[in-house]
Amino acid sequence: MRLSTLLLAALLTLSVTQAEARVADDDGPLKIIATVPTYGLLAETIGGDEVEVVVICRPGQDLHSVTATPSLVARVRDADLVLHTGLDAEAWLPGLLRSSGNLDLLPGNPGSIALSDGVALKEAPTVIDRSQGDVHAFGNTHVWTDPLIVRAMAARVRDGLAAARPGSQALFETNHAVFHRALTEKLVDWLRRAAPYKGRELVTYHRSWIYLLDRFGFVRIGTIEPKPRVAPTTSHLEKLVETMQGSGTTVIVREPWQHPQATDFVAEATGATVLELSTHPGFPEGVDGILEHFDHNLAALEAAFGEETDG
Amino acid sequence: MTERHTARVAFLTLTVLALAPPAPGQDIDLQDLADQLRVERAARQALAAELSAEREARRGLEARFAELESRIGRPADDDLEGQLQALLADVPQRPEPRSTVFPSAFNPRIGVFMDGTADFGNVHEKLDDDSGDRFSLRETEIDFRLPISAFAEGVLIASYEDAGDGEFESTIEEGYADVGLRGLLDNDSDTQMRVGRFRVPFGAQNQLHLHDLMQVDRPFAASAQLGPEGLIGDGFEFTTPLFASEDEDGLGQATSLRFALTNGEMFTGDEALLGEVAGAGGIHLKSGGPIFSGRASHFVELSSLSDVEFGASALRFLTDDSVEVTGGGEIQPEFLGVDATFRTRDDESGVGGWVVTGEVIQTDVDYGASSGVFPDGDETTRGWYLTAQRQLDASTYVGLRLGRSDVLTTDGDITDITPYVTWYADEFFRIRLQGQHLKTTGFEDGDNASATRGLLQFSWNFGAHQPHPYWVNR
Repeated sequence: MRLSTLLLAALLTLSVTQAEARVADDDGPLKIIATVPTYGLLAETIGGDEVEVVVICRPGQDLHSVTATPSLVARVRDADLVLHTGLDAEAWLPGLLRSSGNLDLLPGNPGSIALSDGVALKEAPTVIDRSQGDVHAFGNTHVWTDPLIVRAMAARVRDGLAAARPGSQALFETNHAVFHRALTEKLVDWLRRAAPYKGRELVTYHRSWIYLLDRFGFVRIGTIEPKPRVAPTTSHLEKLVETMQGSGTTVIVREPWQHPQATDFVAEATGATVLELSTHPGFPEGVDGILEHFDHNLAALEAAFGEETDG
Repeated sequence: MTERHTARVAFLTLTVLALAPPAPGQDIDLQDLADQLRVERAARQALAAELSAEREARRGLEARFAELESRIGRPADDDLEGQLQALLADVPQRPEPRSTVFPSAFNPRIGVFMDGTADFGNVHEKLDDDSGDRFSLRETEIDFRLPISAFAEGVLIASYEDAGDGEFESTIEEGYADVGLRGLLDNDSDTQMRVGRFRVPFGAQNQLHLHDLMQVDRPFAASAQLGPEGLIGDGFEFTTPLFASEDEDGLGQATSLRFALTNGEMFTGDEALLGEVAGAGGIHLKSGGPIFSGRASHFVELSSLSDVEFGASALRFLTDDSVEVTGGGEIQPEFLGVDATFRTRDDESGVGGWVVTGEVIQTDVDYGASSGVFPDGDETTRGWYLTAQRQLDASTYVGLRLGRSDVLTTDGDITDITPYVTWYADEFFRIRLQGQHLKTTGFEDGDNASATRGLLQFSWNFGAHQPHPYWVNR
């Protein structure tokens, strides 16, 4: 028998029997994969020392541009739970989970916690095909931008953690209750602060912010992209400038990964203020907690609409 | 507690005595009654003081209780939830239309990739390359994927390729099932098994489809040694993690091994380099011999924005029964390769950054007895390429590839300098303009030349939204 045949036999044996040393220790922290920073912070806030969290998407990163690196596959392989939006928001997730071999985390299994469950999705397309751009089949999936939805997500995280580790249920309930109370107080504050600006209009680059805008009564009158993730054309931008000038709209919201040229063109033509809101806790730098993240966004919109009024 | 009890007994006793009618012949002593009343009043005062203290204690406990309730979030007297609901009611939410189209849950996800190129310049004329100076819909690829069992996902990739002269060929480029052994064998194995027809695990380029490449064409180190289509085999592949760790800063590294056992027909068909040369020489090749191919890789996160991967690959027949030449003789090919890829991002947004990637491939072929078609004896060829690519903004990439490769079955070699720019109109449409300066040496007189060409590529991606694999700088 040739040496290479022996080597192959050894590799086959190794492959079938090989498993990395898995932590089967119930006393160790629950290993959690969160697709975005908001979900990661929910897990840390409610799970405390009982959880160890890896967040896949960086705070200022486009969720669509996540790539499955080998080190990420290794982290997913050992995870107990994955917190994700669900639906078709994280298109790369099923492939990542299958690559890792950790089928316990696939949707439908107990290790998979889809945080959009129970959320009434906005902008569900009436026609689903690519003529509509990069459209999500079930509706707009940027649900984490609404603090009221995040409050409901926190309860799902609490229940998911408690199901995975029943012995720590009391801790998860207490931590959740404290967060729930703090977020509710803040929501009351934000709604009161936003009330004077109800009905104010703005433009966003992508359809990312509809849940936040609807929650506080702001109105999106257009987008820089003609259709989701379709690059803006000059004629579309000119039409948008006309619309903004006609309605006196002077606020544009964009995200850090989007083309500044198109936004700058519209801003220059209309004299509008361009806002880069906090996409998740951690962006921009210093906006670290969930409450601070929403505070930052409300304050930015308040300031922009305040300037509009003063102007 | 004892004093309180004694006072209660005394009070009750005095009350009974005071209210009891005097016994016959007994005189009422007013002084005694007055004393009893004093005692009674004192006892009442003591009880009132006690009650007051109890009430005070209760108020303290209630305050503490309310504080604790507020800390665990239950709405206290301030009715926070009520206030919130009232405020929410002031901002009515828009009614949402319902979808009129229903996703077909049990159908496969379908992706279609169309790749068209326009080739212009003097390569056609100077290097006698009949693929040059024309527009062609180079390849259309249809990709079907769906879970086929609790442990497996099925993939079928069919392609429709331009064969020149108005001819097209359709082939099943890949068709396989990815099976998780952990579920199938009900053990802790982290190994994934692939069964079917697939691109074998060798090097950084061989597993990429045409539309996945960083440039319009494959580097010559790959195409001049592995063949223009790469190496595709039927058999089994295993992907197994060997080692993974994470340092205190959360930066990880992972080592994994991917290896396959396939048949030898990847060398014998008309599309294969050896098969094509054999066909041109009027002989045929056949091979059923098992081939081992594998790539070990080590991936390291250098920072939150940069990483590097090193790979080493090998491919060889497992037995002496390798590629059989009709009319007598055996050909034994062996391939070795090393590759490295470095990526870095400018900032957290992921827009802007560099990818630098390179690979070296060596091929050793033992042609055995002279066939009159292949070179006599042994042949060793080597090739390399190095690519640097910069992402300028969210949709624009520029890059430069340098490379040199011996051409298998000839004495010649080819050198190229290939600059390119890629622009993504959106997720689904890409335009790439590539220049290329080629120089060939070592061929028979007349076949050595320098030539320049331009390539314009249009790529469309329809259907299911594809995840971005990590080797693509997007």
